[in-house]
Amino acid sequence: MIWYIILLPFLGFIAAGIISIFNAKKENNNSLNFLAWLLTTFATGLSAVFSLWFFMNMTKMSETTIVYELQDWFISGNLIVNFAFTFDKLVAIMVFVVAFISFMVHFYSYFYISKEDNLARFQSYLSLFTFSMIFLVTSSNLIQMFIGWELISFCSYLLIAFWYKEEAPKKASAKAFLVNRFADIGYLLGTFALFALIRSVNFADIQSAAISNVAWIHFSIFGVDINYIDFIAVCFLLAAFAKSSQIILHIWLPDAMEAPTPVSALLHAATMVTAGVFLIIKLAPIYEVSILARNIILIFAGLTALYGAVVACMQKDIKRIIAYSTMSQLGYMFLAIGVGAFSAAFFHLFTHAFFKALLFLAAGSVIHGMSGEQNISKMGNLWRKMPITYVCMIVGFLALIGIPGFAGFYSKEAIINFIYDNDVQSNYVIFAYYSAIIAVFFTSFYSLRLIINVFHLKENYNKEHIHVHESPIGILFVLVVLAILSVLTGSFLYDSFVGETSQFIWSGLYFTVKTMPKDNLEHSIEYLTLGLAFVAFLLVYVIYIRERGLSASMKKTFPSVYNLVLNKFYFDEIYEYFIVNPSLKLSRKLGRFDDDSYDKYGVNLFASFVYRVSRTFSFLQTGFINFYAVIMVLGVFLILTYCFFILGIK
Amino acid sequence: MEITIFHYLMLSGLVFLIGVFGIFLNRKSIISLIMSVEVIFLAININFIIFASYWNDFKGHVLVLFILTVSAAEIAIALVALVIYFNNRHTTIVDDLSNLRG
Amino acid sequence: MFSMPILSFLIFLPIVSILIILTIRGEQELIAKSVKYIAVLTAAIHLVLSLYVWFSFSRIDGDYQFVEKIALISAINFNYYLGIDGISLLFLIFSSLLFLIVFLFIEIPKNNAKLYAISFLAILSFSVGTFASLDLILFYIFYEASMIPVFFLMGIFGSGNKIYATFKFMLYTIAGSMLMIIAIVAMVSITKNSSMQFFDTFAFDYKTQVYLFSAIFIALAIKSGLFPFHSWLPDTYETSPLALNIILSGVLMKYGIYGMIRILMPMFPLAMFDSSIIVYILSIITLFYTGFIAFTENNLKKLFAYFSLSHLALIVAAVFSANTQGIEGALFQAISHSIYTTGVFLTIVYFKTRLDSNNKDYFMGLASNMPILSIFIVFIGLANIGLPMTNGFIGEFLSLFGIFQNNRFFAILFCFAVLINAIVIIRFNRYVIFGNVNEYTKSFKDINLFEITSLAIIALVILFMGIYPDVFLDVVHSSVSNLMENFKNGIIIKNEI
Repeated sequence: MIWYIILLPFLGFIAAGIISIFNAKKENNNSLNFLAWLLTTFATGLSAVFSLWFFMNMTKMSETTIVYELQDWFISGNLIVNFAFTFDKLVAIMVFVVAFISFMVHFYSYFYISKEDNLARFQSYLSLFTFSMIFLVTSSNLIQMFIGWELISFCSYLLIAFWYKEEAPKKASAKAFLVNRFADIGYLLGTFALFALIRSVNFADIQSAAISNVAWIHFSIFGVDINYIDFIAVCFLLAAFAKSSQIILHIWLPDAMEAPTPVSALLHAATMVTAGVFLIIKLAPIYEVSILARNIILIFAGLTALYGAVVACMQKDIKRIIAYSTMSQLGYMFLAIGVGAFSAAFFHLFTHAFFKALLFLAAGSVIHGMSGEQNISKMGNLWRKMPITYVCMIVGFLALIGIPGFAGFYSKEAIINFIYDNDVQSNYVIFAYYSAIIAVFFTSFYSLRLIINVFHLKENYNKEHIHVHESPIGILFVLVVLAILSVLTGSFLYDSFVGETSQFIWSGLYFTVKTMPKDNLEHSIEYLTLGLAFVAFLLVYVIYIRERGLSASMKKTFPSVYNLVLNKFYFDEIYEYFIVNPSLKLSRKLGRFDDDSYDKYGVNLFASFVYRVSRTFSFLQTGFINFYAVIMVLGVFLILTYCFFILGIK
Repeated sequence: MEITIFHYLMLSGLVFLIGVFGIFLNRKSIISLIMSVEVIFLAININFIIFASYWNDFKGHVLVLFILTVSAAEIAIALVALVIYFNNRHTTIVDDLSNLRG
Repeated sequence: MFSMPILSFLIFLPIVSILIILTIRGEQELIAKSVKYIAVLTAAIHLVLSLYVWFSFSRIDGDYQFVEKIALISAINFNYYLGIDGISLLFLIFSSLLFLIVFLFIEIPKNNAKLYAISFLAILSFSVGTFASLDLILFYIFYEASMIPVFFLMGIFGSGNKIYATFKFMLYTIAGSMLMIIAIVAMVSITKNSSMQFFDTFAFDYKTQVYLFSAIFIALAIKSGLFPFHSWLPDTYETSPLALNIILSGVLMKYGIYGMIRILMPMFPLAMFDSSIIVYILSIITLFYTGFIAFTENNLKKLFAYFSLSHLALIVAAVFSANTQGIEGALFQAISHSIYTTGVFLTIVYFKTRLDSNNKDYFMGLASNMPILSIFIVFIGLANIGLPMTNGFIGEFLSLFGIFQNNRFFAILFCFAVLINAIVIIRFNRYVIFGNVNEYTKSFKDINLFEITSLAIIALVILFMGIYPDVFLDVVHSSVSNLMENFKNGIIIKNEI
């Protein structure tokens, strides 16, 4: 069965890919597009069903880990890498999430992608992505996982550049790929160092080798002692931070919103960006030992949670707001990892996948209804015209903010409680705690701001050109399903993920599981976050409905803060100024240097020296035979004279 | 006056010098150039014969015969080259033959 | 053991074809056609025979196989001495494959078709000789002879500033050869022996090793284009015909890598061990320097010349890491590089049949009009940047892995340097694949079935090597372990002294 789960999306990719080539030749054939859509949707749907079934089977089985060996991939010296697929309950759940969201998005795309675009190509990319993500999740060793790891960023590259005829998607796709590629250096170095330390790259060995026993081993670079475990942990963090768009390496995610909205829902919200979190959970034994890495996680994740939430408050593009919100939520997941609560991180990953996919797809529905408009200040009063989208979006945001009863409440509350409850209360943990709490305030702020701007207030668009309409039934179906899941996943699954019965899922896994029974949840934290959310709501009400002039006056009072946030803390500009432009300049300079100067002072200098010498002596070559003869005879005389009179040879 | 080997050597030396100066000073005809080369060969042949009879060694005579045949062959080739050259350039004047000028 | 002298056969088969081609008379068109048939047939037979060698080669035995020995000069033990181990076999079979691809898919110019085919067949013959000879002098003869046809091909069939480029190439080559022949003469005159097997176990004293090593290393570094000696390559690539580009990067540049593994490593282990840092530094400089140049280079041929340089530099560094993973990675990357560079240059051939230009700016936005070609370009690009499941990944990964085992610090630098390859390819895609269609590309037709076949072969080989790398690594395991043993013994001797 597991082969079906893995291979069905791949077959879908092949089929749709072949159809797309025919399609490209024949100016888009609608029936071909439909066929490709049907095939890929069916394949991923089947894969989702199988993965659910597989998970159900697994709950009945006694063994906690199932390994399917395929074959050796390559062997070199003592490095042995094989293809094998490992399933435990964690993996099975993740596979289900990937396959299910992917199915939803496959289904949704038919109604979203316009008829002029090559839908078959789009579907084939989506299927390839689904395949690679499942491949990544089920890999049994780091190097095999790297296949999936790279393929998903490649798929993201292709999907972001889907509308390649415009300038922005091209730039965004290149940026996304390169940032991820840069971070893969960390992945590779981590793998190398891990092999150097424990002579294996299999997850099973990492998880069974008592990492704490080798935690003291060091190596030195130029006399600087570096702890292996810390080095490995930081290296993998680099990779995970880029994939999960943590601060400093986050720059690709907002730009990736140039991709069609279904892509944002699948890749840049629910699955691909969570691969980083998943990797760290897989390598949990290392992070349980490395305190340095955990502190780094706490700082960066705290900053990310705050940064994403703050920046989202000032954005105008509906998709970018949700993208920054994704960043901030990924920050929460990492915060959980930072305090060692892997179960809570995974739980938040799980619930977030549903409600964030819902938010993106609902935003897609809005954009579809508005004929491609993405600026929230150019919308308004849509709730009458698209009521179902409205309701679904509100559900999504309530889950995101963490209102009791909705999914996000349980996972986020668990994370904050774990931070609050952590055994060690270092400065890092305290910082993490406050950033998690404050981020809730901003999350509420931007959520309500978006809802009010899009669905309420006055219409701010050209009614003659844009005929707002509710989306087709296919889109609404997906929204409603996801909305229901966004409500249910939290309260129903809390116990099995982090509550009393959580040992059921985590049993046999490779790290200490922290549990947080429902009764232990700190009520004061709940009140605090709810209070903050309420204050944020009030603030939005005041700024956008009661006192319309307030925001303008604030703009005037704090221009620097306003500009800083509006321009996303100038990250893009800093990178542009310090990295991109200098390297382009250097490249051109080196190119000119190699063309002109390098040879001029190298090999050509030698050649021209020879040429000059030969010019100098060429007067001897008159071309007259007589002259040569004279020279010859004179030469013979000179040599003979020399021999006779100087050397005295007789 | 007895004719000694010295006189013979003087003769061959003179012939050699005539040949050499023939090459040096000749700026007109390439045919006379070839003739001068022939004259130089002759001088060498005289030397061989003189020493052969002086040392009573017949190898010298044999060598002379060889040289004569080889030089005849050489001259034949040179003349062929000359004819082809003339066909191409319509001249045999030495001063014009300066293609090798550097 | 096999008794037919199959290696000699592989060497002399192209020579026989050359003789046959020389006898052809007739009209230009007819000559070109028959020459092409003969060349393709020769290369096909050659490939079949090499495949025979490949399959009858014993994987377990690390020693030389298919050995042939005819004494030439007994005073210095100079023999016509052929034989292959896994390392040579790998290079041998891929040279054979590349020549078939070159003959089959690249048109032979109508005028002077005979000279063109003869030159390539001669390179084929000499390259087999280079990879199969077990005698130092014989190796040098084949190694040097391979450069003569290149001279003709560049000078006669080249384009642009070809005379300048040809002379530069020749100057560099001769400079390298001088050093090499001096070193070989010194080695032979010291030991009165020219058999490679003899030198594998013979230990020169440290000072001699350093001198000989430096001379031969510079010669080989010129061939593989390491930094201070790289400047012949961009010009050569720019002016030479595309078929020669493929052969240059696929076969002739690999002489450098092969020589390092075959000569430097077993014969001068101490010098090699001590110089690894210097070579790492040179490689790093090459990688950054050529990589940076490549990403704003507009001339397609030059772009991939610089790109080849940066790949070769990593391979050289991997050889000098001198451990099993490093050497096997270098070998694998060397053959992978041959394959995907061939793909790159084939696509440039197809560009040029549509518009005769080398400028990248003329080929923009192929995704709209040439979707199939775009798919192939993107795929081959992925192999270039070492995406997993393509052959580039295995080579790059093992190379970096080997370097990491040897030197942590440089491994980090190399990882960063390899990133530049990705930047180059992504920039290339952004303009050439996803760019805006201009007036030239508007009228382009997508590649036809014949062209698809050629690229599909390349793509399949890339994919096969990426998924089943063991097929190729299996062949070299025992040879590499022998090599490592020799190397380690060579280093132990030092410690004893």
